[in-house]
Amino acid sequence: MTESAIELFNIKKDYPGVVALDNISFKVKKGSVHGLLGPNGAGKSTTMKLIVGLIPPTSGQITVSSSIGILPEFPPLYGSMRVKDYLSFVYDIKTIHKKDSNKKSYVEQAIVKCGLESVSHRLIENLSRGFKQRVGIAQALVSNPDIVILDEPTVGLDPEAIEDIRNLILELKKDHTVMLSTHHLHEANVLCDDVTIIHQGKVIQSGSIEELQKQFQTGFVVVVLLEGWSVEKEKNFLFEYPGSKIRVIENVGDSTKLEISHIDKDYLKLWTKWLSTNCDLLSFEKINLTLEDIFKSAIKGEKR
Amino acid sequence: MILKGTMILAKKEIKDSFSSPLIYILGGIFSLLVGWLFFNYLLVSKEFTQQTFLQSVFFPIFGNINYIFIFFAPLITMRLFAEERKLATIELLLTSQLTHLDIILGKFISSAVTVFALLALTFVFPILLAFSGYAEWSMMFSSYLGTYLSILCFLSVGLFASSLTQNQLIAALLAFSLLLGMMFLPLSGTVLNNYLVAQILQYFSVLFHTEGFLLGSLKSYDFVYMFSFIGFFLYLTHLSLESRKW
Repeated sequence: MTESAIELFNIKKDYPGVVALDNISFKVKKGSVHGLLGPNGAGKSTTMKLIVGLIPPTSGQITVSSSIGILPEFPPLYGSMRVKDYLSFVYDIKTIHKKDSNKKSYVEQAIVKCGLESVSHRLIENLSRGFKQRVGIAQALVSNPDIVILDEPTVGLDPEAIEDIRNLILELKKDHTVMLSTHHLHEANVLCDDVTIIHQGKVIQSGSIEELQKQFQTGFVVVVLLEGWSVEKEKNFLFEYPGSKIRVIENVGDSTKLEISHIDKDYLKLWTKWLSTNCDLLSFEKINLTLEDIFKSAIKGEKR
Repeated sequence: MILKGTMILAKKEIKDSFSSPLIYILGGIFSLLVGWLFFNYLLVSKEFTQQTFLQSVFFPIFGNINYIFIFFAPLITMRLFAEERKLATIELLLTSQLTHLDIILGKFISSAVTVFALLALTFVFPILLAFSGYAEWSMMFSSYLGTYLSILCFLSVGLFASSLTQNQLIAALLAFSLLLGMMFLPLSGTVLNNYLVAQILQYFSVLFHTEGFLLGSLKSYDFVYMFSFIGFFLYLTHLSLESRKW
């Protein structure tokens, strides 16, 4: 069984008149990239603040296996400090009780990891937003924590900076357990091994993306492109394979693009055989649910 | 360990203070005001031949310095927590290994050093007088000590006010209002025409406890009052930080 880096059990967080988190429980596996997904106001940031101890839970238990570094939603940067001095200060305040004094090498490592060599002597206030975000990540890494928590690390960045930060997160995976919150489902799809979907303070789903795909996709969906499709053939097909559903996506010239699905039976081979016998089958593709489909379904509380 | 965290933060805050133009502007205004006062009191002192330099020049100057710092202390402390809250850097401090005590003391010490630097600008006056034979150094020391302690009291109020808001202007106005209210405390006692109440209210005034120092008498209850006052407002600051978790 995989060891957990973070474990939340029945966590509840109340503010006067508002239940921010309602008995949420999930685990973050050691060495994984775990995505916390949810719309704005779902409770992602509150969950992260609880994990790092910025706020206490109203009830429930949080177990964290080792040290944590966090990049909050707004990177906590002192604009008047130089990047290197800032990281050195952060190292000092995060390792007061530590005896080894390899400060210089840890600061250098964080600078190299985050690609800050070219700006390490510049004032933070003069940096671009992308670099500021990198400095924010570097401060989370400078004390060499085992777990790194990133609250919406790519929000507000330009596409190039987003790509850089995503690559950086993938690099972090080699040495750290990473937990990140995002509402970009594509980002979670690219970066995360596991996800937890939070909505209105409740955990809707939690697990690996593959598990969730299996869980939500109880039937089979294929998209086919063929020539010679007709209403008559559709009737014959449905008679042959009861329970199947056909949706015409588009007609392009003589060819037709169809989505064929079945709620619980795997007719893939039979469908392929029937279609290639009765029409000119140009392409055939099995469709997996995207994270976006899972997210939408989870929020609606339904399965596809 | 507590001292280590406190000193790391204090060092950073002192650096911040002295790299901000505010301290130099305040230093300039302060030097100008106190220099002008010194010059005037020195001229007038010729008319009070029976009084010492300390009585005719330094007592009024130290009194004025106290009033000046009712305005200056809120300006020095206004950014300490308000800026951290605005920039969300307070989360960095609170997720570090610094305790609340480290954070509060670190910031308090940095503002105390800043004030000491401003006050040090006035050291030139007794040195100047020393050349003309002035030698009441123990009285001078106790006056400086009393003035410095009373300013530390003002700083503790300013620190508390700064912890309540993320707007520096509001923090400064709040601290200034509190200090002004405390200054008027003895006056309200007089208005009530009740001796006991007037005495009690007077006891709660910082300026009342500074007078003893200016007269050269170091009384333990003045020290107890000053340190209790500072401790009380630093404790309120701690509660204010703690309230983020509520």
